Amino acid sequence: MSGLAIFTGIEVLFFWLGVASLATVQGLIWIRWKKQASWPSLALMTAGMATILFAVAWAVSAVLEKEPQAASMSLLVILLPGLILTTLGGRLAWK
Amino acid sequence: MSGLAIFTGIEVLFFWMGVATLATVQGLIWMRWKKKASWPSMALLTAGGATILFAIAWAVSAILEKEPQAASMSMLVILLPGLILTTLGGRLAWKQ
Amino acid sequence: MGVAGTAAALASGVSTSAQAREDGFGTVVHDDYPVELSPEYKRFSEYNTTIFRDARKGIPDMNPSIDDSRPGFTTSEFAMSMASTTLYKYMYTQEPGLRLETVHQPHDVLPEPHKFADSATAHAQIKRVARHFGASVVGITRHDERWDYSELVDPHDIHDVRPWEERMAGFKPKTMIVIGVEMEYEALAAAPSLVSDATVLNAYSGLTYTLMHLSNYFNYLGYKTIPAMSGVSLHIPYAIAAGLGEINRMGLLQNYKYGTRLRLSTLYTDLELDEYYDKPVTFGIQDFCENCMHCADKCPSKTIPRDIKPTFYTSEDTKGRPYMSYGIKKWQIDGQKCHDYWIESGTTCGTCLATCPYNKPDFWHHRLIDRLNTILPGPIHKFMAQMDLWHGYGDTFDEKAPAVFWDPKGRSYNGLKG
Repeated sequence: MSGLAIFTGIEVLFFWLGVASLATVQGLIWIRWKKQASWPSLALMTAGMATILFAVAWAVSAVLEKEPQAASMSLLVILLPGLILTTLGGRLAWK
Repeated sequence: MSGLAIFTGIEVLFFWMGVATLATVQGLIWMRWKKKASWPSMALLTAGGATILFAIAWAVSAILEKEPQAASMSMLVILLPGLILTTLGGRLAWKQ
Repeated sequence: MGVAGTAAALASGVSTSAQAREDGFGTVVHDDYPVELSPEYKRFSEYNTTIFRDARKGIPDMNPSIDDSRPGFTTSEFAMSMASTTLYKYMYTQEPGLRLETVHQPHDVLPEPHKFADSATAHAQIKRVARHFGASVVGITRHDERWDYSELVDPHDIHDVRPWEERMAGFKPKTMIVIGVEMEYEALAAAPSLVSDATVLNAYSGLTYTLMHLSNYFNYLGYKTIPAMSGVSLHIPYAIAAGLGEINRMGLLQNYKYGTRLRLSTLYTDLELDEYYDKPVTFGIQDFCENCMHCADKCPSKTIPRDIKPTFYTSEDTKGRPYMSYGIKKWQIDGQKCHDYWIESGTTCGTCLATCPYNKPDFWHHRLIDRLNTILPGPIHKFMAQMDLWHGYGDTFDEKAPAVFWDPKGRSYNGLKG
């Protein structure tokens, strides 16, 4: 999370969130386009990926504010549901 | 630059910088892969794209710190060279 | 919060019968004072405050002690805490007219008091000046004598008690500038300890700096002032009137940005404005406090009530407890129990401030939750409060917290690393 003593942790976090968000959107478009994923599966994957991104953002922010328990907890209560949603969506799409 | 009173201007800026950076990288890869752009043109395009991104980041930051002249100046001295480099690189790539 | 979050909500015993907010939705601006008063309400005497009552019995306001074997109570922490009082203690030692909580006269610079172009300009400039002098938040409201102590105690002779109007003879206040200075998150997280005391006391010194400079600003403009640090007025009602926040379960001000992590003071002035733009605001704090008992649960002296709703106390309810006010609808705090614990623990406690879910550093995810809390209904507030604990926020009596405060990692003191 080093910012070369130029960027703050929050700036680095939001930069990578931007990168990850675009990659996610492109991935979803690709799945719809190339894999002909159904709309329900896309909805599940979209919700799942948004939840995962939110969990990552929360966890990194919690580490930055020196609240490590909040980081662990966010992985449990936000990341996990995100992974479940994405997996369900993926299985539905690939079926 | 509204952040819904949740996100600061800097956070919004860096998020969109991330989006723009990935899009730029993908554009460059596409240029090399699909357009068979030469390495010199790729170098020019990379330098130009990076300079443009830097200029945008500088200009928005300058507005956030209420220094509008710094924003205008950055457009002149950073964005313009960036555009020139990108244009040169693009012309070189398309000429081939 | 997804599937696991929902499960957690169910596990935490969320009731779907909790009532919705009564004041509205989101952030609500009120034309009238948003806290109910009964006809029985009357001005409170400073003579009856717990601190002065105990002082008359020879009990000090604080009782700090050193214990180098206990994190948060070491010699260095004791020294930091005591040193934090420097400015405000010094400003109480000055002559009347120069010291805190006395009338300050205009300077002989202008032939007549300065007139601002209009009320809007006055608001904008006064607030900018207050920020310039270090205020974290500032609001402006009309003087309202209901919120002045009826009697004032001379801090140099605690047996000298006189009516407010006699003590401040010759001064007719018109406008109140209410200022707040934030306390440091990491230090407050160490409550109760001398580290958390240090940030509390440092905020008082910060308030003193801001108040004295702002007071002098008005004196240069040709107006009289009273810089009221911790006496003279009830700061919380004035802060509510000036739109700085809502009253919470602890009986303190809950500010939208800083939550409980704020210390307040007021500045009286005889500058009168044609219009006063700051209005009281509510943003769901009462509803949140009804559903969250963290402060009451964690309070080591059981000072804070666990009543669901705020209540009125009558003069009958406070019989034998003259240090409690009555006639105001709020959660009724027993200040004597609180101060007894200060003395017993050797700290000014602050566990309620530290544990409150609204006490957070300035990060996007807390701003997001704060905003959501203004629109979410009661049962979700209960869930939010529970999640706050599960996330490890609001720990008190945490012996590791002073170490976080002192940890040099990630801090740059020479400016070379940002």
